[in-house]
Amino acid sequence: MTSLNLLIAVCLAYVALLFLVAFVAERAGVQGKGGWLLRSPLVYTLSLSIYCTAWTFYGAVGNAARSGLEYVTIYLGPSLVILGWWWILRRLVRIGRSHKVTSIADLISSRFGKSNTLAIVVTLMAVMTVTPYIALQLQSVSLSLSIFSAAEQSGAGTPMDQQSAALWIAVGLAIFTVLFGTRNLNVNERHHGVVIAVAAEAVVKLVALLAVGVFVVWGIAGGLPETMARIDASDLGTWQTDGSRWTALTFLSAAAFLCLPRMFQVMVVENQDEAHLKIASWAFPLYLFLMSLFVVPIAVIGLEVLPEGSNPDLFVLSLPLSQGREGLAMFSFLGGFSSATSMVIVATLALSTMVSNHVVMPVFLRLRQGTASQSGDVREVVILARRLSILVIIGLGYIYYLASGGSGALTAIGLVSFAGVAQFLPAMLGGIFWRGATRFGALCGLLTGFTLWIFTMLLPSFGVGVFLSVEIFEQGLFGAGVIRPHALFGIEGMDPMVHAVLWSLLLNSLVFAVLSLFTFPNPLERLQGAQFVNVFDHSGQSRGWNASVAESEDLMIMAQRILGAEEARRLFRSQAQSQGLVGHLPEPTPDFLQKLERELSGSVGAATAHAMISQIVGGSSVSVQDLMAVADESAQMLEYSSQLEAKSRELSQTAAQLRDANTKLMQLSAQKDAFLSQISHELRTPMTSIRSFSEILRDTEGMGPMEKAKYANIIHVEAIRLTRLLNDLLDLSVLENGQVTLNRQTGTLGELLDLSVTTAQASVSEPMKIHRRRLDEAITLETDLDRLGQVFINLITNAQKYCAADVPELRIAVNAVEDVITIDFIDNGVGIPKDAREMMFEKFSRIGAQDSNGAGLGLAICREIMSRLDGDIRYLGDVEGTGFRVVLPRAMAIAAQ
Amino acid sequence: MMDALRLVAILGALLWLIPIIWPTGRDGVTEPMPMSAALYYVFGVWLLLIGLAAALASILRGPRASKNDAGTSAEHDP
Amino acid sequence: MGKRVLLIEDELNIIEAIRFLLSREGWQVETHENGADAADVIRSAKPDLVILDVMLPGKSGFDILEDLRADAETATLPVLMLTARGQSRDREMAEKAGVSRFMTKPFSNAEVLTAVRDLLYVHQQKA
Repeated sequence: MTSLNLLIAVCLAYVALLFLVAFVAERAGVQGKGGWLLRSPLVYTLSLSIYCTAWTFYGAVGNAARSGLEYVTIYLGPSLVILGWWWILRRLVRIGRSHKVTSIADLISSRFGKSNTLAIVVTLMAVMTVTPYIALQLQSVSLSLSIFSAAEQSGAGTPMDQQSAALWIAVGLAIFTVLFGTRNLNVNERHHGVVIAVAAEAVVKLVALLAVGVFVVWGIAGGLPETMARIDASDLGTWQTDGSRWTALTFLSAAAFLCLPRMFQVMVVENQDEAHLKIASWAFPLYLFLMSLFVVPIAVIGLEVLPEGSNPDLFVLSLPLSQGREGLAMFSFLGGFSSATSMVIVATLALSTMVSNHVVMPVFLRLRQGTASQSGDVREVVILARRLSILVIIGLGYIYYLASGGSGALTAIGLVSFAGVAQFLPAMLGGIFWRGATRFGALCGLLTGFTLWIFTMLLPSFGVGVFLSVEIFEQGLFGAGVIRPHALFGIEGMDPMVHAVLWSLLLNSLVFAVLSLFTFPNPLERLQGAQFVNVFDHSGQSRGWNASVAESEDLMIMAQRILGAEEARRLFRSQAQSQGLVGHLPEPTPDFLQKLERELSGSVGAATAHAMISQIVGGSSVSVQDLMAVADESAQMLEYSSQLEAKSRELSQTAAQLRDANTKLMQLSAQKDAFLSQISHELRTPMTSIRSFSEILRDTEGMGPMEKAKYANIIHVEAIRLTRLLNDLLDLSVLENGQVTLNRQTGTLGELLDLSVTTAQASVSEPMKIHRRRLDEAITLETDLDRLGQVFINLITNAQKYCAADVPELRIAVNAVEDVITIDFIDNGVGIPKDAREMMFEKFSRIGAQDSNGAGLGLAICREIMSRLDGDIRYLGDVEGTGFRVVLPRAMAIAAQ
Repeated sequence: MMDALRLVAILGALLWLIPIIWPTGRDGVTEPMPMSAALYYVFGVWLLLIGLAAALASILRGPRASKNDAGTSAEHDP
Repeated sequence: MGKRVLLIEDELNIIEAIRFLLSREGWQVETHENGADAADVIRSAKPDLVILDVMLPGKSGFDILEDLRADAETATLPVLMLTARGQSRDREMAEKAGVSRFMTKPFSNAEVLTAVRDLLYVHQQKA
């Protein structure tokens, strides 16, 4: 008799071996050695075998014993899926690689615009469906242990023993998963150690089952023909399978094969090379073929040989035991153990990835929003979250196992779980084939399917009266006959399993499709949709991650462009040295890549750096989110630079304004200097004469009275000149400052001209002849007549003084034109040279040297006066002689008559 | 050859659906299909498909890259 | 005696005053009122001293002085400059241009006479 202790020892040894295998593989993976094995399609194919769990190892025989050939459908579905890899799997794997998809929840959520709601829903659904499955594995192992203990000391194996055994198994699996599932945080969530261990276990379970099969056919039944004869003669001797169940189960297993989180993990996430699919397309069906080959013989012979009431789920163990083949039984036990453990490890790993990525991390990041996140911190948190998730999930499985009390046939639990995950199928396939699929549609479809699954399958699976009362089964929910768990919409007579699968998936797909048609995807969703559906258009065959020096060279070239040649070379050399390599190109290890990314992000922004590096190393196409982040960064930089530009434009404008102001000030200052010089000159000149002659008068003795009178007269004239100058200056200053108050009077233009002419010629010995047309002058003015007269006097005096003609004449012509009155003063002189005309009205401007009396302020004063009177004075350049025109606005004038 | 590859799964689905129309003997008129025959059929089809897939995979292995890419673009060009 | 002084000045009354002062001392005074051709007049008249106003019609006194100094013949000719503008900058400009003596209007007659006498004496010594 095999002692239970020996069995446990063998188990422990086996587990230790697995640890070793995983450890070595992990080490090799890190060092980049042993790539041939890790990258072998054989390992990939074998790792797919986690599809075959303890449920198929033990349960298939049980199922065959109960329902004949129906069990085989569980293998037919996956076989068809992988035979048709070209249709779906190839696309899934490509999308998974190019978008760095980490789980099925990640796939669905990133397809529908990175919706976290969707990710959480999928994650929770996955936990709900997979937890019973994990419980199932624990149950099968403890159950199989109980067979041995029962054989050892009949009946002494207490349920307590089973439960503690399950607990220890759970603990052991948790440790293994934590150790090898969270060793490092790989960008693409690959776990070499786990994959190799799973592959090893795949061999063990296949060989174990085949060994039992061979023993049964040739050891017990006595050869193939005999076995066939016994099969035909048995209760299972004819084809009894219901067509609808056959079809539905094949479909269901195919769907589950695609949707099970653990299958997604090994098939898509852990995939190293798309070409592996081609090998797996025939090798994996072969594996399934072999796994199911001896199921019927074992079932038939078991039913025949073993005592009535034996659990057919354990025929694989109890048959060899009953024949005294303990070694074989133990091997078979190891096969079942392998099936259970590999499934739990991978399923837990896949689920913990989902839980930590989509539930724990978002919550954590939201809680610590605002505090700057450092990647190192977050890594720690992610690993911790991953480990906690693993413990929680395995814990949940164990609790479920305890709660269900190890009841129910294995197959039933497995099918319920399958139908649950199959609800992901519409959203997943719709997402990768149909661009029109929307987030809202997917969410509602999933929730619809899942609700129906719970109501028609999960709750009834606990039995009538546990969660759902008999009334609900017979009368429907809330007494509504259309909502009965096994007869929705009043359609009865269907197999409950077929009924549940049909309705849940049908309504799931319907809701998904209809709502997708009536809702519009947001931009991110639309872009992601396009990327997923057209994944083959813009992603090449991805390279493996165990990169090469070629990649380092690419990285070097890129880094040089961004960091500058010297800086980049220095960084690469120091990294190569720290890796212990000779030369200047380091291996593209995750550490190095992270460092490089940090360096680059200093120059081009984090998102851009990430996109650039992943483009080179990951071989994955840059995701839309990456691009959007890049666009955001560029926009920020653009905005920043445009702000800078605006600021510098502002500055240069200010500078220009300052320059202008400065120039103006300089001009003003120069004008002021010139003005002061002029005033000084004009004041000093008469004072010079006055002083000089007064000294002469004082100091010269014996001066005759004639001379005295002459010199006194000079002093007198100069003093008058000085007075006039001061008067003019004051006048001008008053006018310029606008302090003058106009004294409005009414009078005719003719009278004013009369007065002006008289005044101007009063002190002149030979008055010049003045021509006027009195008729034109009959215009009544209402303005400051004194000021206007001042202008006239000035002009007449100037003409009198400067007209160089032999017989000087002045013509005064008045014209009333439209809204102005013009008064022209034109003499018969030579005119004023062109170059002097501009300066003529400026202060102290003098034309020629003839004016020794005037200070050159007269015309300046005239101009000021005219501008005060809203009129104008200008030089007439196109007449014979010197002409000035005084312009008065019509408003000043009132018609004479 | 690419088309043949794609058709393997469809062929398999059709062949494995045939058991639906097998007599179960429940109507009492027809003889039910014996289990041994059913086993031979189901597993025979399985082997056939595996053989086909393996043959196609090895045929396509040589010119894999070019053929693969050509097939890809042809598939998605509207 | 009989020294010749050329006065370049456009204010008639000032000409009158200076002429009176200098001729009473026995110097011969010639006058010119325009700036534009003053340098040529000086060169052809070859006076012993030039009294030069700054603000002249046609050409400023500074320019005339520069012309004189650039010419070897008149490079050392004593030039007394008179200005009514009276800003310190003018004095600097005049000294830069090589003026012999610089005076601001209004001047005292005694100053002018002293300056003229000094300049004629220095010039004589040099000669």
